[in-house]
Formats: sequence, C-alpha cells, structure tokens
Amino acid sequence: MVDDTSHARELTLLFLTRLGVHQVHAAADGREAQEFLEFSGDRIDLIICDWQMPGMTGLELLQKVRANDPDMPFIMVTGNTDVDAVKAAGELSVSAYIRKPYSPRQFEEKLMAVLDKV
Amino acid sequence: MGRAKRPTPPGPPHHEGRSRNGENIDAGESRAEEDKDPILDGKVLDDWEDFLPADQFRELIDAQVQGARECLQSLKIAVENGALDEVGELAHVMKSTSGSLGMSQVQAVAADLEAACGEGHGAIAFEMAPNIDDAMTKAINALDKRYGVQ
Repeated sequence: MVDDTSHARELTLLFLTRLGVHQVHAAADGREAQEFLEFSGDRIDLIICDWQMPGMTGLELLQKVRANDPDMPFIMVTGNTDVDAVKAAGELSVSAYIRKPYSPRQFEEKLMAVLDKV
Repeated sequence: MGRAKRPTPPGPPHHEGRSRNGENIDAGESRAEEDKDPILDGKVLDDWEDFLPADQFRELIDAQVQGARECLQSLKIAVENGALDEVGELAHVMKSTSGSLGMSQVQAVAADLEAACGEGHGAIAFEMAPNIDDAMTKAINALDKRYGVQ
C-alpha cells in the first residue's frame, strides 16, 4: 500500500484488515515502495497505490513495476480524471482504478475483480 | 492537470439529503444548492458505517474530524506565513483526508487550492484558502447532525 497521507494509509489498512488481509506493508511514497519491492524479498500479491504523491507519482511507480513485472496486480487510487493521465496508466496495464472518495463496497468489488484475474 | 478555478465538484452520487433518522443532513441548504455542491457524500458514509463495527466506525469519524481540524489549523498558519508550497502540501493532505470519508465539499475546495498552489497562483490560492474553513465548518456540522461529533 503506497500513499503519502498517513490518514489514507490507516484507512486502507483498516479496510484490508476488516477483509481479513493481515500482511500489509505500507509505504509513504513511490521511492520507499520501490525499495521495498527491490530488497524485501517478500512475495507481493497486490499493490494499492495513490496516484498523486510528491517525489514519485503512482504512475511513475507503475512504470517501474511494469518494467520488472508485467503481471503484478496494481490498483491505482485516484481523484484524477485527467483523460491523458488515465490513458497513460491504461497503456501501462493498470489493473484497476479506485476513485476517491471510495466506499468500502466499491473498493472490495475492485479488489476482488483484480484478484480473480490472478 | 490542475485547475486554478473551482468547477462544480465532480461526481460522487449525492445522498438522498436525509440522514438515517430522517433529518435533513444539510439543513439550511436548498436541495438545488446541495446537488451543485454536496457537503457530505452520504453513500460513502453509509457504506463505511455498514462495513465497520460501530465502535470502529465511531473512532474513524472522530479521527477524521480531529485530523481535518488539525490540518486546517496548520493550513491557516501556512497562509498567514505566505508559505505557498506548504499550503499546497496541506491542501493535498486535506483533500485526501476529507475525501476518503465523504466530506465532498472540503475535498473539492482542497483540490482546487492544491491545484492553484501547484500552478504557482499564489494570489488566487491565498484568496481561496478561507473557503476551506467555511466548507469544513459545514461538513463538521453535517457530521454532527448525523453522528454527534462535536
């Protein structure tokens, strides 16, 4: 889970825990997430990433992830509806978008749809 | 990507304008005004309330309001200091914090403020900043009507 806002990380963690997901690594920005992906050695099943973050955006992280793992499930959380940006993420095979504000039901549906494809 | 002026806030479907106990959520606002500029996204709130145990939901709402108030206070200080970058960063946090639990109007104002800061429109941003205070007051009042948060 990658988000620069601590409140958003806590909310996503609460949501995932309630769904029974208990192994969650939280990163505060794209660079921290990238380092974790490169060096942790843990198997990652899914990345949930905020789009708009300082330093490295969600789109830039997606680019780096796709360079190494074209199939990694990657959900982009965004308030961004800019057509070009959405198109760019689509070209990088983003698995799904969640638009803020999201309800837990919407999030759960997206999450299950993405994981069903794995 | 950003916007310096405030359009009609984008899309979360507006709630029915009534809380579960039947009271008007946005009392004092006309329905037309609510539809243009919803204070709360009732559907998001209802879904979270259904999703979480009551005590966790209550904690979430309280934390939301507390976090938003603290952020607002920091934002006021940043505005007073003329710190445009800091205002932009705090607007980004407020956008995320308020939006995630359905404080739609605060989210929209914060998004516009963040965009104005990002584009370097300092004069517009500093003029716009007090709107967050107003939106936050309305949102907290609306949450108070629903859940008694004050």
